[in-house]
Amino acid sequence: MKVTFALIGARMKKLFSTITIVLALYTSIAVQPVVAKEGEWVEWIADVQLSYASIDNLNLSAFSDDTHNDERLALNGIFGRFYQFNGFTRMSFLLELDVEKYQEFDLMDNRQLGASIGVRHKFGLGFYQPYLQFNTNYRHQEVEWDANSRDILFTTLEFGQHINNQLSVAASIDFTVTSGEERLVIVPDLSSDVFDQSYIHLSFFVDYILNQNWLVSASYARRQGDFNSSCSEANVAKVLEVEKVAAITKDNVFGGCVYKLDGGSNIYSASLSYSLTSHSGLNFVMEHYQGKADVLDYHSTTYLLSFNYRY
Amino acid sequence: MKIFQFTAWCFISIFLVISWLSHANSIKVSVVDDKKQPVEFAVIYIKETLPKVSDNSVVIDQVDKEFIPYVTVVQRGSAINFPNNDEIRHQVYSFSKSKQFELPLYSGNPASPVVFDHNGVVAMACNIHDWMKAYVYVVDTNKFTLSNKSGQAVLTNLAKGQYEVVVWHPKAKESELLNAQQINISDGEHELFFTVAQKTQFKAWRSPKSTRRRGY
Repeated sequence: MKVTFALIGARMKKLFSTITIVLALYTSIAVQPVVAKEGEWVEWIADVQLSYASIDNLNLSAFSDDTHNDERLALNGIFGRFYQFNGFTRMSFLLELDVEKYQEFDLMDNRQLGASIGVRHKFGLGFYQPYLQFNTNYRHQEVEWDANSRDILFTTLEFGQHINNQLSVAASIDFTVTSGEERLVIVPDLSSDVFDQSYIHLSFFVDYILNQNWLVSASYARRQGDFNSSCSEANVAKVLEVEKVAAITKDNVFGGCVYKLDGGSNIYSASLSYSLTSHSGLNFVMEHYQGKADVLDYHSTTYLLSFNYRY
Repeated sequence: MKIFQFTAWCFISIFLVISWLSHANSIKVSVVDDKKQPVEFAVIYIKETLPKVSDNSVVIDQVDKEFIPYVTVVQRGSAINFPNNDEIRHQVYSFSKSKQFELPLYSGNPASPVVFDHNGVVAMACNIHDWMKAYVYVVDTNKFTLSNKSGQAVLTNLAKGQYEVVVWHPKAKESELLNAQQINISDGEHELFFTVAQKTQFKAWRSPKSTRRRGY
C-alpha cells in the first residue's frame, strides 16, 4: 500500500512539475501580446502581518518525552503590484519579507526574502464566476543556526469560486522543493541532506462569512513527500529501527538529531477573522499537523494570533 | 439708513415666507428597523406615474474600491455617470432585470453615462473587486428622497391630496421589500414612521486574512 502511495507521489511530482513548466511557458508567451495592447499596472500591494504563535511540538518529534514547545513572534511583509491584462486576468509581482523570532529556541530565528509571480484568471463576468490562479514563489530562509538555512521554491495552482454570498470554496495543488546546506554525515551510507526535500500539498479551503465583521475559515491539506523531525540522541536508535530514514544529521537546535522521512501528512486548519476596517483585521488560526511515515506518528499544533494590514 | 433697514427686513421676510411655503406641504419620514435603530439609505417616494425625464446629473463614484453612495434613487429615464476616482481600474456590471449593463475595465470617466429607463432595483458590482456593491432604485415619480444616518428624510413641495408613500431598502426582509402607507396631505408638515425589518446582507470579505494564504 505504501509502495503504491510512494509511486503515486512520485508520478504526481513529475506530472505537477510538467504542468508547472507548461503553465509558466504558456503564461509568458500568452501574455506578451496582451501586455502590449491593453494591459496596465494597477493596484499596489502592501500587506503587513504581525503575529504571535504558540507551537506545540516545534521539533515534530514522534516521542512524547522528546517534544519541545515554543512561542514565536513574526513580522511578515508582502509588497508588489498587480498588472491587469483585461477584466478577467491579472498578474501579481510580489516581494516578500519575513522575520521570525522564537522565545526559547532562538537558533530557529530566521529571516526570509522571497519573490513571487502569480496569474489569476476569472472565467467571466459576475460574482459567481470561478477563478484559476497560478503562483510561483522562490524564497531564501536564513536561519540563526546557519546550517538550517535553505532555499524554497514552490508553485501553486488554485481553483475557487463563491457558492453564495456567505460561502466560498477553493482547492489547490502545490509542489514544493527545498534545498538546504551541506550537513555533517553521522550515519555512514546515509545522506545528511535533511533539508533537501520535495513534497506536494493537495488542499481544500472553505470560507464562511458569519456577518460583515466575522469570517470563519477551514482547510484540509494532504501533504505527500518529505518532512523532517527532530529527536534526542536516545531516541535515534528507535527511529532507525522502525522508519525508513532518508537522511539524518546532528541537530544543534534541539540537541539531538534531525532526520528526513518520506510520508503522508494531514493538515487541518481553522481560523476566525475579525474585520477591524476594510484595510485591517485580526486573525486567529489553529493548525494541526498529523504526519505518518512507516510506523511512528508525528503531531504538532500551532495557535496563531495576527494583526493584518492591507494597503 | 432707514431705507437700508427697511430693505433688509423685506428680504428677511420674503426669505422666511419662502422657507415656510417650501416646507408647507411636506412629509417628514422616519425609518427604523425592528430593533428601533435608524435606517440609513432607505428610498422613500410617492407612488405616482410621471413621464420619464432626461436627467444626467446623477453620479455614482468609486473611491477606495467602494461605490459611493451605496444607494441612489432616480426617476425613470435618468442617466447616471460612473466616474472612477481610484487610481486603478474597475469593471462595473449589473445583471438586474431592470437594467443589464457592463462598463468594461476603465479608469477615469467612462465614455457615456448609463440610462436607467425601467423601474425597479438595479444591483451593481465590480468584477475585479467582488466586495463592491451598490444599488440604483428607479421610480416613476420625481418626489423621492433617501434617509440619512438618523433614518430621517423629508419629502417637500407636495400639493394637497391623497398619496401613497413607499419605502424600499436593499437590506429589507423579503416580506417588507415595499413598505407603503397612505397619507392625506393638507397645509403644513406631516410625519410618517416606517419600520423596515432588516436582514443581514453579505458582501465578499475584504479585510486581510492571515498571509499564509494570500489570494494573489
